[in-house]
Amino acid sequence: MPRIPSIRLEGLSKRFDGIVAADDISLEVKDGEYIVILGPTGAGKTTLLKMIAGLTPPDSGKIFVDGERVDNLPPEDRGMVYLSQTYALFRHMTVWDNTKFGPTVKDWDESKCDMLAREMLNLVRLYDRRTARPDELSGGMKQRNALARALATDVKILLLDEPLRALDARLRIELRYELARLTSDLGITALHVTHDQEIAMTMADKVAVLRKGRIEQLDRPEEIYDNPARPFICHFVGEANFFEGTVHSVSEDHSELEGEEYVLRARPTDLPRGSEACVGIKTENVRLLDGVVEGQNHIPAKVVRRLFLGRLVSIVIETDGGKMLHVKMPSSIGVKFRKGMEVTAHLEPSKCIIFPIPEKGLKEELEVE
Amino acid sequence: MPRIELKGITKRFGEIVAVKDVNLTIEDKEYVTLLGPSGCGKTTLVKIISGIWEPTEGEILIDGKRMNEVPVEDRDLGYVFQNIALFPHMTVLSNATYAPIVKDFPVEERDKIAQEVLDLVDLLDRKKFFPGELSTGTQQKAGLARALASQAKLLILDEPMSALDARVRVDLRYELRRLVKDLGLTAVHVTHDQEEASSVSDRIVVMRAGRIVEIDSPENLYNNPKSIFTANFVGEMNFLQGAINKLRDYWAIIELRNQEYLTLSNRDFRMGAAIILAMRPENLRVEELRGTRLGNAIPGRIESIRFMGSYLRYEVLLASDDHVFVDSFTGEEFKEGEQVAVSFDETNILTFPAPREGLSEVIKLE
Amino acid sequence: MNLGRRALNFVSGRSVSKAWYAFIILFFLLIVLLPTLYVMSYAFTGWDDIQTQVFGNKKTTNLYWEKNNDQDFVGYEVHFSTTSGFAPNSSTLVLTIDTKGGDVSLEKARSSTFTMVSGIPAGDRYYARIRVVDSSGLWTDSNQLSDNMDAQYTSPEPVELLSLWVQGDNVTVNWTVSEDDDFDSYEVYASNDSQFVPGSATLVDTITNHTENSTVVTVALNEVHYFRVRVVEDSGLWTGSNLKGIGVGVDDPVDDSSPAPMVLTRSFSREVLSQITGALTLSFVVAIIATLIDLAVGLPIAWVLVRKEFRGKSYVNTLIDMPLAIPTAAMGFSAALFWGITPGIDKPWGAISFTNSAFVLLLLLQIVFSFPYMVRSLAAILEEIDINYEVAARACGASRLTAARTVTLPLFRSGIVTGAILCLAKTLSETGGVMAALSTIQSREYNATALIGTMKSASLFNDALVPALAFVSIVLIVLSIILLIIVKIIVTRVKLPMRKVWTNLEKKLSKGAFPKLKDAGAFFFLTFVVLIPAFFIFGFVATAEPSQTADWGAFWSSLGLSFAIAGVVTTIVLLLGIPMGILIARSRKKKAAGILDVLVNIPFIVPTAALGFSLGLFWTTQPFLPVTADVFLIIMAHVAFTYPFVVRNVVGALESLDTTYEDTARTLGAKPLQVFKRVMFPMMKASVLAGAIMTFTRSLGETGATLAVSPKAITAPVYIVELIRTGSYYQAGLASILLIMVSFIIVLVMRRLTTRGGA
Repeated sequence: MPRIPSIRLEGLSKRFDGIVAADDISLEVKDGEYIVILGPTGAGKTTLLKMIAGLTPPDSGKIFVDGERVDNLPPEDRGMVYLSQTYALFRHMTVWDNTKFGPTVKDWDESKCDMLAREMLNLVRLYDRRTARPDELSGGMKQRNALARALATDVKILLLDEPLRALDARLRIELRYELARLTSDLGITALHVTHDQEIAMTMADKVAVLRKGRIEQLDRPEEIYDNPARPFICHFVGEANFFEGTVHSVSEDHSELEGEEYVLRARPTDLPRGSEACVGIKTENVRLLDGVVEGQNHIPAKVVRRLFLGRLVSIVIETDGGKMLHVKMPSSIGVKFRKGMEVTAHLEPSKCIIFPIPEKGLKEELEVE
Repeated sequence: MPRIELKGITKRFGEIVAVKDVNLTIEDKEYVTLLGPSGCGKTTLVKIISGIWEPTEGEILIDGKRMNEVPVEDRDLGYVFQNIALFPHMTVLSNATYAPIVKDFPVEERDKIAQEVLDLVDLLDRKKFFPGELSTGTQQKAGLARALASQAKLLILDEPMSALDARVRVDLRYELRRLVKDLGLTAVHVTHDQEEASSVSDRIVVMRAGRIVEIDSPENLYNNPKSIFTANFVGEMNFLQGAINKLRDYWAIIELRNQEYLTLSNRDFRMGAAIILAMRPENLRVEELRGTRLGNAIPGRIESIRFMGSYLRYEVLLASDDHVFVDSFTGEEFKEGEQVAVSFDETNILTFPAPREGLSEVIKLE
Repeated sequence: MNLGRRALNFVSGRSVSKAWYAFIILFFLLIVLLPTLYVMSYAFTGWDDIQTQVFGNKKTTNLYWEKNNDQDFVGYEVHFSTTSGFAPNSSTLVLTIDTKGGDVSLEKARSSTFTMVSGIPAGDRYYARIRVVDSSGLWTDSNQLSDNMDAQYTSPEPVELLSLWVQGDNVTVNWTVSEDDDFDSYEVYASNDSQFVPGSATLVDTITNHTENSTVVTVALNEVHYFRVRVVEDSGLWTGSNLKGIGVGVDDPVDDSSPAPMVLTRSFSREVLSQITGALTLSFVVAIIATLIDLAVGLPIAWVLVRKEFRGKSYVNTLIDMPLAIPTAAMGFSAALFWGITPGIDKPWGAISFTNSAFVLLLLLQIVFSFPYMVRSLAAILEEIDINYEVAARACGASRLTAARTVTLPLFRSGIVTGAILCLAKTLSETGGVMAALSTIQSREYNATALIGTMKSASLFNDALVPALAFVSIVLIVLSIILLIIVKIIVTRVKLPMRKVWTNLEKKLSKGAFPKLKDAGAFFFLTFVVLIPAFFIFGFVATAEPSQTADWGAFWSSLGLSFAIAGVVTTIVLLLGIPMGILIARSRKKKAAGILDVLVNIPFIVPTAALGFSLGLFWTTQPFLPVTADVFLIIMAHVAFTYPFVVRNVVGALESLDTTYEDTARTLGAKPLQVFKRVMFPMMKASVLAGAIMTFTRSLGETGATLAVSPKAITAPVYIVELIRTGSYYQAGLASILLIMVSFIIVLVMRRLTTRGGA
């Protein structure tokens, strides 16, 4: 069993014409981990990947693979393959020649080249289409061909730049399982960049949330979801409702936020009393009760709109104070809430996460692009 | 008041038939989505509806009038593009004023309309910006404003979310549905994303290979699809293959692989017929494996557990050698590798006769 | 690691690739750009320095004078002296310009109003006078000029002796007034000898008032007296007038008169200057009008080609491109036969033959040449403008015309700039076709490039044309660049009325007959103004009377030379142009790449005749290794003006080629050279091929640059121009057709050879 490499980044920084694309990024990827770098467009995801691959020189910082510095090596000697979101299949070559490209330029034995190409094409179920040219393939096949080409180089680090973005939504769901399975079966360390939180949740061992060139949180998906480091992450990974106010009281097992309309009970906090704060709660964690029900963290409201999403329904309610709240629940429960119904939103205190008010205000913090 | 009727619409490009014999009626103030995988003909159809292309055969009527030869500029509609296509040399405001100008509205109304539509999409503070200075989500809102400014009652949305980040799409679909309903528009929306389609539409037209597969409300398409393709395409679905093993008046026993059985009510099955059973992951349950099996449950082993945010997803290898996904919102504690039982609620199982060309061919996504 | 891989590693090394790129840039700057603009250095040196040049211990100088219109004109003589004032017997006759015993027509000799005198010892000061001689041997001298232009060495302009009038033994002498600033006196000399041999003439009167321009002298009776009037300066320098003789008291009244006096100067004579300004005006006026017409007609055609699908579209595309592959000399001849009145032959069958105006003919001709460039560049940019903008505008309710005007056109400015610049550059540059056409109608007018071509040929016999050539070249280059900058500014700055919409009018114009009429008009223009004139020659040759006197051996060898040159040029340009293109498109230093990009395009907008002249000047005079071999000079000239084609195409191809292909290939393990060979090159091959074909055909068809560097080398197009000049129209037609067909075959073969490998 060949060793699976690890990657370590130390203080990578990059500016383009004064715009920060990477701001002192440090990151450790253990061998065989599947790391997803999640962030909105323009966060610097692709730049980060290209710096690691050696395609964009960083302004400062170091890159290590298995403890050895690689940032002075040209891309072809770094032992990693970069897979772009357009796949960059060489359009003048067949599926077969594309797959064989890596082994061939590395000047390996002809029989080894053929063997690798055949093996990888079989793995992605494209061996039958080996004489086709890229423009004769469907989107999903192109993606698989690109993957086979990357794997045929025998490299153990994959840098995936939005590999599913160009695919239809339904196909994306299908292929993400396949991609995750392949990389874990082959013992590959993968860095996957995406803007799609669902992909991050379903595929990652760890998620790094990137915003404006900074890694805001690096953790397991559950942690990112349940314990977001800041309001942006709470809102970006899933959807959340926010309430602004001041810290009213703090205790061991909870805190209280005093807003304009209500006093909300939330998780405990280190924030001092009287400081400005906000409470975020994921839309899935808001429970809707029929009619008006008095109680702690109960907010009376009216159903404004219901959107059917398939597995879930998304319901928009308006509180008496005119605040819109979004609620998501399984369709089987959600069908009974109709437009105009009087309801009560129950915000489970343990799911209410309290944050200090961000420097530039909550509105800008929550901008998702 | 736009009511659109398509009668026997066919469109050929040389040898290729992009749309074949489509019949469809879109009612006034209805929000209809054309949903299907790449190359299913949905874009061709919406271009025929909007007058960018003429159909090779068939007739398109708007409010009862034949419109085949009427070009797009005379159809009185608003169009939102996949690649947004805001005029790059004009500000957001000029883009919004474009339709009122070229439609020769009275001069004093032009700016008023532009202000109104920008207000609707909450972009008044960005009106002096050029498209290149805005994020894609904001650009598409401006694109929507430009379309609305034509004051047309028909809105065409041609994959309006494709260029946007996943998270931005979520926000924009609320906006879309709200605007269309508040303004009383008729909307035709094209997408390949079933969640997007479900969230905005009154009715969804599922298309495949140039033909309409099924037309229904989002709930019905999700809960009671009439075809295997729709069942798979609109939301995730587990499929099991089986055959009728015993048939009684009110119930039937379905044999799966490895002598595993499920009992269903008799739905006009034929003895020995091969059928496909389809069930949504959220309608299955993972239970502890007890000594005796009660009801419809099949033993299996948990292959993987994935955290999906509001729910957990179990991948279970059933004793019948089928892989199924089970979504659990309640958060039971099971571990990977654990032997469990997967229980099936009979009312949530859909059945289809096994297709001759094979299951994988029918549910193929591209 | 095997040897190949090791070699790859070596050439992929940073220092090696840096050295290689340095070489590429240096080659471009020193071998392409510098020679192209070398002539500009003349603009910064003094006029005297240009006129008098020192080579080692000898120097050369240029002299100009006014054309002499004397009826009995025989020739000019150039006299040099080493002493100021031309003391008796001190001057030498250094050059005679006459009919050379009949080899040169009298008119041509008379028009040769400039000369270069070489071989003057560099240390000496020289003094020159021009003498015009008539058939009876009488002569008149010009003023004296020196290589030092100080007034103290230049004698006053001569006065003309107007008349002699006899009354008894008194002769009244009349002359024109001298305007000289340092006027001292008029000296009236009389002699009995018409040659005024030294010692025979006597000073008969001195007048110190310059307005007093007549005098009465008393002479001996019964003799013939000859008179000259000198203008004398303060310094003592003088200039004599013409000579007149008269018999006093003689029955047989003599009325001898030498030619009118001339002024010897250092600046161009009026003839040369008016020829130059006329030619430049013609060039620019024609270029601007042709470009405007191209734009007006090219836009609808480009629009149809890009935005509409119709049967036979690919044929139309090919037809539009075809003139690009035809050598312009052949095409110019063809179009001239079609439009122009050709003296000496019957109107060819099917020809329009309506004009003998150089202006009209050139205009029509330049449209044929430049139209494909306009359509191509407009279509290329239009292709890149997302059609959704137009659809979006129409979905907003705009008619097709409104949508085009308010949305597509504003986005299209860069296309219009490129198209206009290409057209202007092409029309300003065109030489071969123009010379062929002007020769066909036997025009005496030239445009600037034809003038360079003609003057360069003439300069073989008369080196004094070099400064004139330099002058035309400099003006042409400077004006071209200024014009192109103005075009760029106008097109990018001018605002179209955007908020104004004439809804109903534009709607009407967008529907029904009008758009069809517009398209039909455009295609009518394409057919009858571009294509038929371009290919008319086939009809001409098919219907004309064959003639037998052609020297086909000379033609084939000229064709061979052309092909050899084009082949070598294409190879050099490909080898050096591709790396330059890569450097510009892929350099991380965006600013430096941008500057290089601009520099590379300079040879493209410099008219090729000017470029050729400049280049010839550079190579023959540069101090390190002066080269005068014709073929070398031609190759270098062709390399210079075709270099931008390949570079531009490579840059264009790479800019549209996503860098992720290269990035991906690198991370898959490919060395930079492997990336180039296996990924980049195959993907941009079509563009490189297009550049190569363009280079080959342009080199094959180039006349201006060839003539301008070396009027002696006979390439195929030059040969055709020569045939036309000598009136051998039929042979010229046949040769043109052969050249066209061979060009086409070569293009096809190149296309076939290079596509077979990949596809």
